[in-house]
Amino acid sequence: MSEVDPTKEEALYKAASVAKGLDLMSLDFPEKEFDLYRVLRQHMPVARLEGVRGASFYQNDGDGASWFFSRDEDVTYAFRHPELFSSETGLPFIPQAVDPPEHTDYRKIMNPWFSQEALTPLEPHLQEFANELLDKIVEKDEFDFVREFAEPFPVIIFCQLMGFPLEDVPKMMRWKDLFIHGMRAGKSEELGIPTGDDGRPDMDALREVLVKTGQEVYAYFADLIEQRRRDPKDDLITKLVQAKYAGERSLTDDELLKVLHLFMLGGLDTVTSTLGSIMVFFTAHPEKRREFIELMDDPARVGPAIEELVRYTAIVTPGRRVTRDCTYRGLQLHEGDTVMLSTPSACRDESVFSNPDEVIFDRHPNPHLGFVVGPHRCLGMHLARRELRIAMQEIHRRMPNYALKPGEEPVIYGGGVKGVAYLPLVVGEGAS
Amino acid sequence: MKVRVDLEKCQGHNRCYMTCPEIYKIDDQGYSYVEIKEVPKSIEEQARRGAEVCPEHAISVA
Repeated sequence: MSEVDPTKEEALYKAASVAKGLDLMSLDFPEKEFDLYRVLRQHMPVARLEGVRGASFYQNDGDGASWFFSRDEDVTYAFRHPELFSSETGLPFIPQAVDPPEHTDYRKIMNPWFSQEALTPLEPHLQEFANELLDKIVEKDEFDFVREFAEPFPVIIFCQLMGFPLEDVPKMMRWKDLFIHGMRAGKSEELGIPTGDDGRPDMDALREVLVKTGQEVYAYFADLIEQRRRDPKDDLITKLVQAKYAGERSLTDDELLKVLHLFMLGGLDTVTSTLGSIMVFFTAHPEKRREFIELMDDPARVGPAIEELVRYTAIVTPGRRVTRDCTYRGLQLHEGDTVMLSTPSACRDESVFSNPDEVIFDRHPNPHLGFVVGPHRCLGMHLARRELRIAMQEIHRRMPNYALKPGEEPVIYGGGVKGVAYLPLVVGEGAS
Repeated sequence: MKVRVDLEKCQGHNRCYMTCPEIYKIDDQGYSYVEIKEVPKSIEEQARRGAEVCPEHAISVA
């Protein structure tokens, strides 16, 4: 005799309705996202999304179904099995949209440039630059943390490392915004894309803008590649131009463009998002800020504390393409379906992390997915960590007292790469 | 106590190295390796924690 458990029925119904309406790009998503993830993790860890707007412009672009993975175990499995959950989604990005074994050969070229050891000499420069930005900030009564610090700090550092001319930063920031955030409600209009009453861009118009922008980006980088061939410099564009794929051949122009395009998107957006998210947290939790200030000069404690902040503020929900019809957790997936792998949800999975919604600086173990796992783990993770640590140390050394500007709220957005668009702060003794 | 890094699984997060640099070393590509056969008693706990923190679960302790 089959019995219906009304509580379970109700929970499933609730989860189904969450899955139906899940929209990472909507304006009100950030305030409810962790409640929604919790429901999905518990009752529908592999959720089929209906009528979804993908986590990015590129996801769910075809006819296939979209699935949302919310548990650590499933997200990890998908990241580790590219033969079933492929990164080859048709995007012009190397190595992000390439599967092993080619992916491995590309990463072999780049891994040494972004190793901990390679980045150690950068430490004094990072400290100096953080302080340069803070010199200007502490003079003011109030400021927007995003514009005055979270954006310029990682962006300028990355451009210097790459060899992107600093005078072109505004142009590149617009390009990366179009590609990463063009589809986001509230942002498309600001970027000059025809936008409907619901804040959503006109998709045909966005497509057109992106095609045109892609051409501009390629022309720009083609020019930089040519310059470095003629006149090599001590930067990563030069290293790319001189690199040998599988120890045998130079990268083609097409490959170089796809790498640089990806580096621009990866290097100019993510650390900004994490810095903003951490400061939103510290603004709302001054007691945690004081705890951080207590430990931040202890080398043994500050590393784990930064990892915990990365776990808590995990920002990316990458997509993968299902390579063949298969059954996963009893559900029928089809070739061409899209799966979205939520690291923000996996990083709050109660089966891995106790009290997942709490920041515990000495949490152990803390094997979080904030930098993703498997072959596509974040190439820039060691740079990101170093930037986050130095930024947090210097900020809290120079301005331990700050608060949200009275009467204002931070602007937080969701999507495939979450982040903070605006964080107005007041500084000084009165603010804590 | 012995620790072993599974090179098939290691992706170069360096979390083990950050936790216990005495035991876990990093190669030119950023992957972890272990040189010594037996973990000294005095740092067993740190070496174990280094294994537990690996997001790839690539380190076994025996």
